[in-house]
Amino acid sequence: MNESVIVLKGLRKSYGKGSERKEVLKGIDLEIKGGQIIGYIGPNGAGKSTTVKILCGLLKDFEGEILVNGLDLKQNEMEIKRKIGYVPETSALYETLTPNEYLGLLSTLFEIPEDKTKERIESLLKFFGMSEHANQRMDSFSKGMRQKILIIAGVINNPEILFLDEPLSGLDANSVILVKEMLTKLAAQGKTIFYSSHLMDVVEKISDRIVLINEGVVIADGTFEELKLDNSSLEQVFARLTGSTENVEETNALFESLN
Amino acid sequence: MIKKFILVPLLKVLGVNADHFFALYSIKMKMDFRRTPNSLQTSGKKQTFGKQIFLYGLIGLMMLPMMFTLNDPIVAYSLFFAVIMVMTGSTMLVEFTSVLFDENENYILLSRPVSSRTLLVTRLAHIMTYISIITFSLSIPVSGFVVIKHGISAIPFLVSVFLASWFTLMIVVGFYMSMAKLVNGERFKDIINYIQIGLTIVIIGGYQILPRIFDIEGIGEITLSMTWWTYLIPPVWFAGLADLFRSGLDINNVILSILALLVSIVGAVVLIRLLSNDFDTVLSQNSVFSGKKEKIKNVEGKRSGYLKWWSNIVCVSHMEKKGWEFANNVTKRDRKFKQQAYPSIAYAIIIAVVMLIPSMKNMDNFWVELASSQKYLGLIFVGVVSIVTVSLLSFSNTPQASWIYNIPEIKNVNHLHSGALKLLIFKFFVPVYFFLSMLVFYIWGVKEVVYILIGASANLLWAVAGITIQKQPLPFSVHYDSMKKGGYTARMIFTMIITGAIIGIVFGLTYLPFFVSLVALFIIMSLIPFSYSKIRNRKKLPSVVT
Repeated sequence: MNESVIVLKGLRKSYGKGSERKEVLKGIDLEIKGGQIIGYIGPNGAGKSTTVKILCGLLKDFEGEILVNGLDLKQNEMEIKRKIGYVPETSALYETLTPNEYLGLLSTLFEIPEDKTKERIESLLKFFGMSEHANQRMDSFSKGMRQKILIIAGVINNPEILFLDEPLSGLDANSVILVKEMLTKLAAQGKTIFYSSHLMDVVEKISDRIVLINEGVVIADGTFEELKLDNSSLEQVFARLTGSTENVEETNALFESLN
Repeated sequence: MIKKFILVPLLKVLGVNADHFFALYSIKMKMDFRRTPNSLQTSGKKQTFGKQIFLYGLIGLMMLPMMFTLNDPIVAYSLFFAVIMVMTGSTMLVEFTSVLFDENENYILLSRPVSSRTLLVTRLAHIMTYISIITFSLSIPVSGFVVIKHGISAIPFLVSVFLASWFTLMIVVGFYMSMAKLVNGERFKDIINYIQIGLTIVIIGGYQILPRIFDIEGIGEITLSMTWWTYLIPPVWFAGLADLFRSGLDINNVILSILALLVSIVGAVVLIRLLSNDFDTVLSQNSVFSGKKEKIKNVEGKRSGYLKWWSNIVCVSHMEKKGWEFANNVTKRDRKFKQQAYPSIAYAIIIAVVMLIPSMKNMDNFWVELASSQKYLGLIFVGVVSIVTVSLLSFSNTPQASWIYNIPEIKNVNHLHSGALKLLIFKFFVPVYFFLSMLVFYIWGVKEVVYILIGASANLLWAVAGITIQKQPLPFSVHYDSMKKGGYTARMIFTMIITGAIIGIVFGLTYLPFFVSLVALFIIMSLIPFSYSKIRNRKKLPSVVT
């Protein structure tokens, strides 16, 4: 699987019009090979979620070219959407439904054969320890339980490419381990994982390649080994590249002034 | 059978994925029946829905005399369909805009292989289900009348009812789509909010003012002579179709019926086949995805000079001033507050104007008659606005943010509350009464202004004292959803009774020596700051929702 499954050429996106126009993505170029886990990191407001939303078809008016499996996203949106999975950063669910009803609906939308639907839902719910809640309304679920359903919904169609935007939010330690295990196995099956997060330790451990963006441009791209200069952690690499080392000095100055 | 042989082929012709459509539609209906303000399951929802149908049926009953009075069926039907279309349009704007642009659902569906067309048609069908229930409820009394009078000839009437609501829905959606292409993000939501407010005012104003413009006598004889421009009025098309069989296929009615059918069908095809391709683009531009909300420009700089001036005079503490600023910022931006408050204020003003002008038929001696009357007393009724806005102060869509009242930096949350209350008074109450006082001074004179001020002060006192008496919760700490349970309507009726009593007392004062009124005004005005101090010194705080 060494072919490029995702290609971004000069991706630009801005919000607002006229004097209020703000460019969030200022020309992103990326080429992602199949079977890789890409850690997509950056400070708040860097443009991570915007990139993911564009790739999943939630945002349309962007400039540049996006190819997924060689298909232009603007021309072949439906075909591409059938092959991707998306775990959003917000808890967007039909909350008054049960997991069985919700995942059943998504299976219909993905046109998954009925005989496979039940089996797939059952095994995914079991994997995440949610079987006993399969017929309970989701409005009674905790944040972590909802997050698990969002992740299950993201993989219900057995996607070739999975986009995750802060997928571990609200999950307990055991569930985090499960998700990491799942992602590693999916990558081993040749699936491509595009993982956007603030949690550096997870990105550091699971990513084959790390893309760091800041203010709408890619400022670093490579394996963790390539990015670190010495024995530094990804967090330290991030701080160095995004200029947040100054924050440490500011914090020290603040505490000195408080003492 | 209908699904297999009519709906599925129809959806296929329109380019809609039938499997997706039925799956989404049935899920939406299922969710609607589960969605209740609390978790008491469906009984509450059904009850509210049943009540709504009954209420619409009652409104429909009011249209019945129109059908009896008007001799020309085309005129009667045209007026009926005009009402139906206005009601459908306003309901769609006020209650179903959020269904059309459902932001949570956009997150769920826009990343899935659901075509833009299927998404639009599903949402239209969902909205149309409810709009149909409303319009048919509205039409029940008139339908009964038409069936009894014309028998089988009433069938086209029922078809017309459906088509008229469908046509209105298309117009509203078409308008939204065009508007969304011109503006985006928060500005689009603001424009929709202003349209909702404007339409509500037009409707309530129209109901009050229109009957006064027309000469009721001889209205039964009005007929509609067909000219080229009559064919351009949509309610007339549906009236023509409704009257098709009874008129024995009159040529004008045949043309009107063809227009009604053609426009509804062609409009649907244009909307679904052509405009729907942009629907998901419109959604992505105007939803939470466009994330970065427009910058609020220089809020401090734009703060009204009038309000700032008053805040320096009437706020007795720093915390009161903060409460004033806080309430000003929220009421300026909270769409729900504006949607509730502005129509109520407009309604009170319209009622007052209607009291001044009982009929517009004879305007010759209008001013002379008015100046010699005591109709200025009716203007005291506008005081209801103070109670309306004050009672809205506790509500918010994000009451969880009221945790902020618990922080230690807020030494006395009561000051924050009284400051917020003062803002409402000076923002909504004082300007309205200032304008009315000027009007009264111009028409009647100084003495009558004093009577108006007595009424205004009494209303104000009632509003301020009510905070302590009714133990009103802190500003923006209760969810809007709990408003119905809080007896908002009951409070409004009670307020109207109180205001009526105040008007009665002021009327009595006009028969006493004038100095009595001056003393009364002084006493009431002195009691207002006293009531404020009661709010500021409350010991037991109203509970804060966190």
